Amino acid sequence: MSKGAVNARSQVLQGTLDLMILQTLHVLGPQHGFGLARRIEQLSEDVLRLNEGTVYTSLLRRRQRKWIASRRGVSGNNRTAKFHSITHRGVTQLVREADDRQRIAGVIGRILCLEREP
Amino acid sequence: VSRRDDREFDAEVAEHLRLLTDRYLRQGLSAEDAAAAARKQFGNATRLREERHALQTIPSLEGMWIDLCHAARQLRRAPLVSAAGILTLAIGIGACALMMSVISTVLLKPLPYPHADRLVMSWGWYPSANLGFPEQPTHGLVFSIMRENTQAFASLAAFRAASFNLGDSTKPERLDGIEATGDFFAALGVTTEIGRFFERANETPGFDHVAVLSDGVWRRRFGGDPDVLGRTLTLNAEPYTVIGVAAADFAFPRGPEMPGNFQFATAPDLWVPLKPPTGGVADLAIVGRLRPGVPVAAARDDMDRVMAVVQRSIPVVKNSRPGELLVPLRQQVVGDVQAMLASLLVAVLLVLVIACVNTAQLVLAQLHGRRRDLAIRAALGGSTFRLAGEVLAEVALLVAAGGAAGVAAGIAGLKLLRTYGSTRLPRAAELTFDVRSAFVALGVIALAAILLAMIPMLVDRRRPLVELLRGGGRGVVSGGAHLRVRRALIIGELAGSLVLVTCAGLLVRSLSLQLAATRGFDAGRGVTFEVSLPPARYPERPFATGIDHAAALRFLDASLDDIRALPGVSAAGIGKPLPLSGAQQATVFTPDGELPALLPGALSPIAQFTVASPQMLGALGATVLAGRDFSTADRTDSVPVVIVNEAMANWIWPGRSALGRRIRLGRLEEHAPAWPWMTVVGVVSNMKRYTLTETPRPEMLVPYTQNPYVTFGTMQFVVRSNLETSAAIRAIQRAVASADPAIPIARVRTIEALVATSTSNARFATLFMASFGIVALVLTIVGVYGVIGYGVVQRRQEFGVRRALGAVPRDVLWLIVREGLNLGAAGVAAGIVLSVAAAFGLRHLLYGISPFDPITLGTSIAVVVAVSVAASIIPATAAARIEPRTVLEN
Repeated sequence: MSKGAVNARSQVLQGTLDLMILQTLHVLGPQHGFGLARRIEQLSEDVLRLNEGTVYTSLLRRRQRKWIASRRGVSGNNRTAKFHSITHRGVTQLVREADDRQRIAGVIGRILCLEREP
Repeated sequence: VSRRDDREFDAEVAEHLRLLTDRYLRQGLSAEDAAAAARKQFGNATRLREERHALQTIPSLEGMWIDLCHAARQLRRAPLVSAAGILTLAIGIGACALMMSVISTVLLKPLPYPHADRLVMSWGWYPSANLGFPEQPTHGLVFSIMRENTQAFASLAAFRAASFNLGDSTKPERLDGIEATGDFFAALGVTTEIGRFFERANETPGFDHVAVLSDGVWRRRFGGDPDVLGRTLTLNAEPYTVIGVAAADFAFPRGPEMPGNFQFATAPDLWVPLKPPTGGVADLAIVGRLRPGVPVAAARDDMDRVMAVVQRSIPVVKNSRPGELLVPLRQQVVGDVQAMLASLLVAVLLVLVIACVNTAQLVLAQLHGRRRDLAIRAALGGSTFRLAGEVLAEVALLVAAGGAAGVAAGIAGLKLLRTYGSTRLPRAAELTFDVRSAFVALGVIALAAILLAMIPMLVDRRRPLVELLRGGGRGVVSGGAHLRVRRALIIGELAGSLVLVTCAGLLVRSLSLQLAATRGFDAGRGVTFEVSLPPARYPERPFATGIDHAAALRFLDASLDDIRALPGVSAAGIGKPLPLSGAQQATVFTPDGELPALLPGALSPIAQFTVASPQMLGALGATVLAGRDFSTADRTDSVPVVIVNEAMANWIWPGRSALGRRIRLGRLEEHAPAWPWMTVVGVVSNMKRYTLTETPRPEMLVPYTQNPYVTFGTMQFVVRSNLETSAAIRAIQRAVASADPAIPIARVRTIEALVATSTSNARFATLFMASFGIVALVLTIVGVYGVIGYGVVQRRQEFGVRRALGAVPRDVLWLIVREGLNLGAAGVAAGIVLSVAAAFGLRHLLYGISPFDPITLGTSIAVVVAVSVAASIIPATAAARIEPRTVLEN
């Protein structure tokens, strides 16, 4: 596969990943990076085979927009870890992004349902 | 990014990896496999770290700094190559900035006067006379009528050069002054440094002994003392009151910016008021300020109207059409250097292109040499952006260093140009370094280098890394795209060199033809100088057919006798004007007998008019072809005599001997005043009067003792001696002082210097073009050497095989040299049309040689091909020396 194609696909994935992280945090509350990766792995039914590391880049990007807040805490197995949670601004953004996605998904769905006229 | 953040992030990643590994362990993988699988699932942690850095640092300054450090190390690793690169850039940028500075000052910068576009020069024009300069002086009477009747001009001012001896008899100094009518400063719209300028009222006798000093004289002679205002100076033995000092940057008129026949000094030292003269010869230059909104064309119509008035009031004015020639001041000042500067600009841009190409070559070579290294790093996860950043940093560093060196070189060059540059370059005093152009040049080179370097990067990118890795180190002939790009660049470079070499060749040959052209006199060890005789002490008494100046004659006789008595002096004479001194005098005359062929529209024959003493011809080294030189027997009261030059003799008396024939001054129909007939006693060789390139014009010489109608205000001397120049000047100074201690000698120049000055613009153009040609050749040698040398390294194994199969070293040598030859031939093919076009563009600068001169073009082609071959010889011998065994064993 050529490198350009990888880049194009990963760009699409980037936006999707960002959205998935926000949604996961919104639904499940504060999570650490590993937890997020597992959750997304489950939800995406392995359709999204990603470099898990990119979760961290995504988190950083969202944190820079102040959609996510991070603090240190203690994980389930008694280890210190960084927990990430969604902020108010993050929720607003999530609603907006989700709406957009759904609208686009609807449009794409309708288009794909079109049948060739005889 | 803080260290703590980094540590936390690393811990987070490590924890993530640990958890993933644990998961795989639980699935039953071995510890090793589990760790590997975890790493695979997590992805490139280092790249992640870099991305995080890039996100968190302000436009990744840190990365840039690291890149720069890395680039500096890379450049240091190949100091010779880097030095070559920096030198190339410095030359390209320096030359470009220098040339653009000259152009922006001379051609683009507005003249230093308010509303300078309304300033216009007005010249007399004698279309029916072959005078050499189209711009001729206007008579005072004509100027007065112009001034009173013009409607187009808000103000008109006339001015002329005048020499002043400053001080009393003990320590005289000669100053170059300007006599100007009252509106002079008002027309130009300039302001004083201190004090005030003179005005129209100062033309009235009693108010006219005032002077405005130049800033230079004020500082030099008076230490910049503001109390100079109101001081009385002795100028030409008359008292003048200083009323003002001109602003520091004001100098009008400047000699190099005005027609040479007006004899203006490089910059005036002082200005005094002038009432438009009602008698004497036409000797005024006129500058005027148009009324707002009046175009030059309308001013021409206005002048036609004024000239009708002139014709009615001064019936004598027939041949001439004063005021006919209106030239915007800007055009006057810039003159004909525009064509020269345009050619040099094209040349310097070519140099810039060649410098670009060479820099790109360098970057390409560097990149290509490191492509394996780059490929490995790309394979290990280095992002394209990061790797490109490194290359960019290297180019940036190179360009920055080259640019700094270039700017320094440009500034130094400009300083050199101001000091030793062309003495006829207009606006030389205003030259300043144009930093913008340096930056433009810098930007162009950087951009070009980067773009050109990117081509092979993009080409390489499309190839799988594996192949690159495999091919990189082996003897496979690889880098095809890379080599093709470099070869194309080199061919372009050779083509550019051919253009520059051809142009330089043409200019060099043109200049040498100029210098070798027959001048009619030989440079020898002649010294020329001027003296000015103040009219207060050397009065002139006009009479019916001339002017009587007994005191002036006594002074000239005495000083000539004293100079001739000096040991080592072989000949001394006076001449007004001397050849190549710039001055011009012409007169109408009437031959005894039939009129010669005249130019259309001319009523009377006109010829150059020179006043000479005995020995002037000898001192100049001119040849008396027939008859004799003047002698001391040609006195005021003896038979009037005249010497004519060859051109005049052939014009008036074609095919016959001129000796014994008679001419008289004045027009055919003029019977009174009756100018006496003068008998031709000698024929002299044609002397070049203004430029070495002119065609000789008819000229007559009359002895200074016999009623010439010129004044003796300023006389030029020429002395031929075997003394060393400075010793000769000191001795001459003493000799003149013994005739009159109050008369200083001025404008001391050797005849060689006069010749040099008259060719200074040609020298300027030739020097620049020749340097550009040489630079282009040197850069091309480096470029060709680089490409061919690289090819040899790439094909080592091939040569080894060839040798093993029976090729002798000479075969291999020829193989490489042929490549140089091919490159050279391709370059010539690409450049030959351009060269011819460029040469055609130079045609106005050429003397005695066609722009399509086959010898010059042929030589240039030979030079370029030879350079290409020469540059391939070193790699070729290296290739020939390759031992088949060592290569094959490797």
